[in-house]
Amino acid sequence: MLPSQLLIARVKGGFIFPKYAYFRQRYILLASELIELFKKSVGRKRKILLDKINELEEKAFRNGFDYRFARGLIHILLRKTIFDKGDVKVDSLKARLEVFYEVNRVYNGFVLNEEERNRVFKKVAGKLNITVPELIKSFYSTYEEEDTVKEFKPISPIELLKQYNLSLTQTLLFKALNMTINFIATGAEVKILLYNAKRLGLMYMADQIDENTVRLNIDGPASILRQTQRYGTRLAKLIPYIFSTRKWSIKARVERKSGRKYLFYISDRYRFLFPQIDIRMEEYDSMVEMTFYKRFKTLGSGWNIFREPEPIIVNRKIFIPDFSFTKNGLKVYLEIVGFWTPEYLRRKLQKLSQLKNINIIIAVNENLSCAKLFKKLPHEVILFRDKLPTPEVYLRLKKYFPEKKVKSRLSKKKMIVIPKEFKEYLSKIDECLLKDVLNEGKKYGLKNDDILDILNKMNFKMDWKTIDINSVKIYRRRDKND
Amino acid sequence: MNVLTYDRGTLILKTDFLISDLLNIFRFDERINAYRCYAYHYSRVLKIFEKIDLEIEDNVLDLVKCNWNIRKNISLRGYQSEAIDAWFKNDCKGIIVLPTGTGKTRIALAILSKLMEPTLIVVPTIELMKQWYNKIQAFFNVPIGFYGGGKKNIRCITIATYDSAYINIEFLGNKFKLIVFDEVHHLPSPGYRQIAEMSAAPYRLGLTATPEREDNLHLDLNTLVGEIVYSRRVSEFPRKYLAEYRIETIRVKLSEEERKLYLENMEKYRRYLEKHNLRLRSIRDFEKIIMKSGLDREAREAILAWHNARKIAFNAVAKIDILKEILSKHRGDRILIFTENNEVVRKISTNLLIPEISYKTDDKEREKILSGFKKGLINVIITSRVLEEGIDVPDANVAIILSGTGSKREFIQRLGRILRPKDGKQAVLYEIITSGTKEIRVSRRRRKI
Repeated sequence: MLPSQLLIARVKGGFIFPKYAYFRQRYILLASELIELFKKSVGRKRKILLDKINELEEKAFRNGFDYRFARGLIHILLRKTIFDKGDVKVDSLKARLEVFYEVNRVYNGFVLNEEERNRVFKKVAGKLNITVPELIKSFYSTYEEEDTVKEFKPISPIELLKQYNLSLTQTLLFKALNMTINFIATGAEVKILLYNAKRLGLMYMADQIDENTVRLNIDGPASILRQTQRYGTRLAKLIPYIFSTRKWSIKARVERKSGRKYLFYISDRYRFLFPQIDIRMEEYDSMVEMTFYKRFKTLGSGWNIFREPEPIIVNRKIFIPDFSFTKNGLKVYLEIVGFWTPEYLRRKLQKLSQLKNINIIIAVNENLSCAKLFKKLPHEVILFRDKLPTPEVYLRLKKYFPEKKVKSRLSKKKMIVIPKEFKEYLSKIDECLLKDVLNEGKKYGLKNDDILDILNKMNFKMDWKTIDINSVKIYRRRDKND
Repeated sequence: MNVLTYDRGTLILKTDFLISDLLNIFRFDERINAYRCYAYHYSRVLKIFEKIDLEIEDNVLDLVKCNWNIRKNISLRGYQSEAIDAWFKNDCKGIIVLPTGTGKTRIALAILSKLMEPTLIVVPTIELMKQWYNKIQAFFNVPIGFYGGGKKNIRCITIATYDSAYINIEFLGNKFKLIVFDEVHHLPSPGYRQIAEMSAAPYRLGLTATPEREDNLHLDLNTLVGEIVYSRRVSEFPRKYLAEYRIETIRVKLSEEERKLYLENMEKYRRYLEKHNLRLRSIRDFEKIIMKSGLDREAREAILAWHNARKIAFNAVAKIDILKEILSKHRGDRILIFTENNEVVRKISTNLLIPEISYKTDDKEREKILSGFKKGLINVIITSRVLEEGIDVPDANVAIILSGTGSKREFIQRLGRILRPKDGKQAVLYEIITSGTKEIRVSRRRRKI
């Protein structure tokens, strides 16, 4: 982001658009010249760097560049530069105070000529047991211009121009009153965008534009009372998250100093102008989800499982279930409800109760005080204790197949002849590793899916305590009600 | 059931029906399916519900926990007590107008000691934050927090800068019962006013020496803080509270060379204006030229010429000589030198070895210099802007203005700095102006107080 006076934007017919740096030869040349200057300045004084910058800026201006453009690039480069105070014999503050106190004692607070000045430095240097040049160095080291350029993180000219373009967009949005974005994105991308919008104290309303595209109107709580630039900086901070989605377009109303309002519109057609933005994402919301995902994957159920699928819109709010499952064109969602604040759970319950025409399984930790309320939801609801039982989810998933299909599957199941030897093998088992059973079953041409069904039918219980399928145990159920 | 809650600077009302009095205040927010308004309507809303005798669940305030002890009683002068009474009579709302140096802070502290409620104090500068802190500490035993200058902690009494309060008001808005605006004339600007609008604090106190603003926005203070409940101007003040002072204006001529350069640059600037038929009627017009100068070489050269001319006028060599003369005349006095130009500050500070306080001065050093000045270890300070408003510099008796921006308020406040009561000591304010330059016009404008 740049200081707002460095914004260069064109205004035309109610629209405003930043003057982006395209990758023209002369822009690249100026960028690389500046980068070289910074590289060369490592080890030099800040004031020398600043003088050289001024020279280059003036030269750029004479060559027809907007000085705000040159300054914008410099602003970004300065952020990549580390300055250092350098070593001094005596702490700057101490040296300065000694000098000022001495001037006060001897000359009532000011010296009038070079001679008096030298005398003060000499006296104080003696008192501090350092040389006069050392004292003078300490005295001046408080001034920024005396700093040394310690480090500069190099960057390519194109990358600099891209970062400039991103900063320019954000700077324009400082004065934004609101923002509308259309995008196609994964659940994870939307989640991180909304998480940040919330963290910044912003609000949104969502609409489904077409099958994939979602529209968000973003502004702040007070926006409905008066249009305000208050949220502009925060809207600007969302830009990197928007740019990192698959397809996007942004519309914003921007107020200029004159009070006039303009429309800013940009879409991913311009993506090439901006840096590649990688947003690091939280891998999983919780352990429950992580273990479930890994277990389900190894289950070989025939269902494809996806984490954080594309967003669903409920009452103009976005809802991203934890998982989606697909099989033969059928889609079922899974939402796991774990420990959260009562307020959060209340909102979640409300959101879930408003969900219609959507296949969703709700898994609720039964230790939650409000678990019973979730039980009443018009969806498939599973109560679980510490870990979400994978087979239970699998069984519920099967319910979503239309009646006929389920029947045919059932009859097909019935038609699965359990090989005699396998049945015998199982009947001898009280407790063993699942993988052994699966291996045994394979010998008779049974699929994992089928074996699980058989185990279930024969009243075996699986103990999914670990993620590793190799160590999952099965044992015979003693109590039918268990 | 009617429920009123606070949400990031606004109030949310959940209700089954709405009467017209409330419709004037609230607006329906479809994002949350409820009514919303700015938080400063809080006491008005409660009154309406009271009037129509309707029950309301009020969850708005979430006050900071408070534990007070009064260390020392606050003695008040007659007019101070009058001002306090007037404020209490006005439902604990309103503005008190008193000249600099007449104890506005003390009035606020007396009000605090009567209310003993969680309080947010909003001040223009970090320097003033520290000053309020010291005064509160002297009278009360109470936890004090800061918002601004890199600090962010909320306590029973919290002191914030306008900038920090603006940014954080969504969070701070319902934590305090009383909000105090020091130098309240800053408040009505389009940004800062939101501090008042987004706060639910039912008690509000504004303090200033000069409530008026050139843009007339001070009229809005009525709704943001309350009306002026007490006002007295410098001229109404008995002299005994203020030190005697006189003003000496000294005109300095440019050297031959400076004059030549000055005229050259001004001519260049004027020619540009003439050629493009530009007339400068306001700051806006000037800004327009600056905007143009981004790409337009001619405009940029004109602006540069104008800058150079100004620099020459501000920096005139003779000014430094005059400064030295005045300093020698006041050996042993406590002297503050003001100049708006940071280059001049640095030059004088390093040449004459006078400690500087500018926006770049390190916090610790600034503190040491100010406390040194109070203790008498330091007699002379040169500063650019930071001392501008209401800073306590206890017994300075000489002020020297080397340049100024021509704002009326600034002049009063700088003047006010040496108007501190001091036994029998006559204060002097020197103003050094370059004659035959634009600067004189700036100075004349200022004197029309």
